[in-house]
Amino acid sequence: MNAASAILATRVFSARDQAQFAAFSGDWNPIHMDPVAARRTHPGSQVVHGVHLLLWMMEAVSVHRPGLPPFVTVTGAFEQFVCVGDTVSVLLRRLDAAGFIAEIAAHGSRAAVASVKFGQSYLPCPPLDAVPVQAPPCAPLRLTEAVPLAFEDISRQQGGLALASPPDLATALFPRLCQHWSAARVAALACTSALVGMACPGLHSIYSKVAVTACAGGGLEDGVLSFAVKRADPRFRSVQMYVRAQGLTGTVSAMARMPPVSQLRMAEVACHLAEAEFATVRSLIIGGSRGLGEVTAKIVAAGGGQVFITYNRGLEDALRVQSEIRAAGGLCEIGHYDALAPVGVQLDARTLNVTQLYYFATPHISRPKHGQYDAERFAEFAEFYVNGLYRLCIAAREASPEGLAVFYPSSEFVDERPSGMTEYAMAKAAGEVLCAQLSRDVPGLRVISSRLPRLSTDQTASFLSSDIAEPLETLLPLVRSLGR
Amino acid sequence: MTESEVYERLTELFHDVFFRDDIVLKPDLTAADVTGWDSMKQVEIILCVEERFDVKLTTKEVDSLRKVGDLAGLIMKKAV
Repeated sequence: MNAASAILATRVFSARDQAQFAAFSGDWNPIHMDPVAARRTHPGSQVVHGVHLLLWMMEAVSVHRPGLPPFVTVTGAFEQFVCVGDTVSVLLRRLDAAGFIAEIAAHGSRAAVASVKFGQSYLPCPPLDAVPVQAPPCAPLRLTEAVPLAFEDISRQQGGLALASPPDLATALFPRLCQHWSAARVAALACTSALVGMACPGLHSIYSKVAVTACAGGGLEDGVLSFAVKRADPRFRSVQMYVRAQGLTGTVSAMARMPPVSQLRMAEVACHLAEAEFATVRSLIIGGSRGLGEVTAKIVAAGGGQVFITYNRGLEDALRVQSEIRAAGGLCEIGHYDALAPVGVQLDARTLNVTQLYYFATPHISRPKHGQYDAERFAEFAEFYVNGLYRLCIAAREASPEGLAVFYPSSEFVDERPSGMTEYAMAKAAGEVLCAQLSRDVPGLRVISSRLPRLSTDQTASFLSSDIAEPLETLLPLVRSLGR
Repeated sequence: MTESEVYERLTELFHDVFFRDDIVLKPDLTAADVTGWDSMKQVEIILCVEERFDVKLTTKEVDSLRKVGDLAGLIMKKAV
């Protein structure tokens, strides 16, 4: 048997698909299910379960190449996030007597890979003492919410997870694969998604790899995936676990993500300011519900100024910031604002009548791409960083008879141009040119732009530690300069 | 362990990590030369190296790696 790369299937995963797989696997982690929570993670939107991709690949091969030998070892690697709404395809890259390799293609690159090796039959599962997973000391877990496990608690985790649904649901979702490989194995493999996403590492996790061997018998309990942490490495926040279920043994690898970035509290900001330093400031902060906008709002408010912060999707985040500012005695209003939509229907003249405008509107910045330049991506960035900025500056200047100072955050990436950030850097640079032009041509309008270094926000968070500066140190002098 | 033994075993490791058998390891090969070699793959490579060669790399050593030759050199220094 030999086959060149062939596209076996193409689809777009929907929110309904997410719900269906979550119900089947038991993995309800918000990164898969909640668009507002997912926007605070590295991919910036809901992510398709990696194991769903793996099972889809195996199902596609089973459908298009019937009669294959038993799938004895299955290795799946989840290399790039696939988001809800992405168009993805299964490519069969290699098929021969030994096995096959299939890939998920998304955005012109490989997002996941499945490597399956064939065998003549399923050997008996190794004896219990050969795979260091013990019978769970208590009833298997049935989790309805992902556990926010601290990394230092991970190494001693072990136990059992109840399979979320009966095997016949596996048959409904992956009929040919279940016929070939058994519904019990499909359900157990799906349950590893719940292990990673709900239990260990839990809430803040990334499933990176699974390697299992199909065998005959072998589970410690029917309907239970047993697990034990093999290794938790704090250098990389990586976790490896042994897993065992009816018909399967193997290992699962995952990373413990950093939780969403929390910015400084009001009291921590206030101690850097002179009393009532910004008492004459009326500010409008676009994107003030988190990240740099949140820190800026706290700086102005802690200095006695009035802030109006806007959010696009993060109402809860905006309410949190408002609550914190008000609890500290500050003045803060909130409102919804979409930087891509007309200004006048969203913000009234009273809201726009400010002395300072801070523009932190942005799409998700870091996403996989293919090729040197993506015109669509540049257009999206330009709509935020150029067109959206222009509309708002003009509208706010018209509503502000005392004149208006605007801060536009550009980026060091305009100079550095790291790989994959061409369109972002171009759009930021175009925004800088617009700022200079507006300052020159619009009376009473002063637009300051500054190339900011990488600062600690959700957009820069990574599971690897890196030298990223705290925003306050960078933003405070800029806020002060707007008042001069 | 000889240099050629290290490269032979590293090659097998890279083929396993990347699911490709066309990667040819040379001392000056860097992450930029291999599609998909990002920070997560880097972590996987380091963990596999430690397991397969029975060595342990410090954070400082990991941070100093720029090319495959650096990794091979470290392995030869540390592996028995």
